[in-house]
Amino acid sequence: MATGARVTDGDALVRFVTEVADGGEAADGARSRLEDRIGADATVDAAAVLANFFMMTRVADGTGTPLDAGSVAISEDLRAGLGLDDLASRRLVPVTDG
Amino acid sequence: MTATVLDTGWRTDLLDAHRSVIDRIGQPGTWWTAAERVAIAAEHRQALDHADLPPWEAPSGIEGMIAPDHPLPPAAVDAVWRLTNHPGTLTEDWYRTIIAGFDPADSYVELVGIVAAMNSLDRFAAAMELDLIPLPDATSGEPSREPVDGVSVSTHWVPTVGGGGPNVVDALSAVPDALDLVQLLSAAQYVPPDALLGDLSWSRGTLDRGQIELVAAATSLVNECFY
Repeated sequence: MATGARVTDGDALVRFVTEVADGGEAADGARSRLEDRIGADATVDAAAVLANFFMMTRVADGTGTPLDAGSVAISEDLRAGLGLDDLASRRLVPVTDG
Repeated sequence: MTATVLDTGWRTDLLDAHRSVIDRIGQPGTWWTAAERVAIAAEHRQALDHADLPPWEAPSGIEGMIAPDHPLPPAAVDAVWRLTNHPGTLTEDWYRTIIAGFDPADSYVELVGIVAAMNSLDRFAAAMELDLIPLPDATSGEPSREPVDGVSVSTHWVPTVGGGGPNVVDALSAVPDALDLVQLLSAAQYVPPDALLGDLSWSRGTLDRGQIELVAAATSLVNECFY
């Protein structure tokens, strides 16, 4: 994912998320570095999406939200590729037969 | 001189959403008074300032960390801190223990909504190197204490309505006020509800949908969120 998943300026967007999440010195200048790359308005919107998913992760993990039934099978390769099956919150996946 | 997001000239729907969430936290909710809701928001900021506290240590277990006259019960303070700093470590066992300190269980759902919304506002401010929006003065009045008909514990740890939509939307359905806070922010910060699945090319003219979803996925990953 660090390379940006073949999305335009994806590497810069992922670096921004990582730096802001790490906080401290890592976050210093993260905003201006992204602005230099994608512009001021797009940086506001990137920060807004980031902020939204800091919220949604707390909703999901604070309430024991299970993965939607339709997403379990289709996300199998993605979960394996990103190591998501190793996360503590993987326990939220409903148990299925077979 | 620094400023809050409300002092910027950025798009009005974003500013209106942030202003509305802060204002609503200062009003009575479904199960918590306005003063308690503001205390939850304040405790969230206290937790952010102590993000180095490991997940296995709860404020209630550290002498002097919770003042005797604190407006929130110890279980609520502990839940705020864990949700704020370590949501990816939460387990069903943790929930079963913490929920014993909430009466009714729906009041925990309201707390999750407040913490999640505050985390969104404060993370945005940090990302954009802004001051935090000051917490509101608590208004008077009592919580409505109106339970939602038909909620039950089925798919989630918490009681839900089970409306058939995405599970993460159903998560706060037992407390519509909490769900409103989250949906208000989601429409302004992420993608409007009608475009979520109905228009996969939707954009505000800045980031395209692929860029939006990449930021969403990267943020979920750094929070170790499986969902």
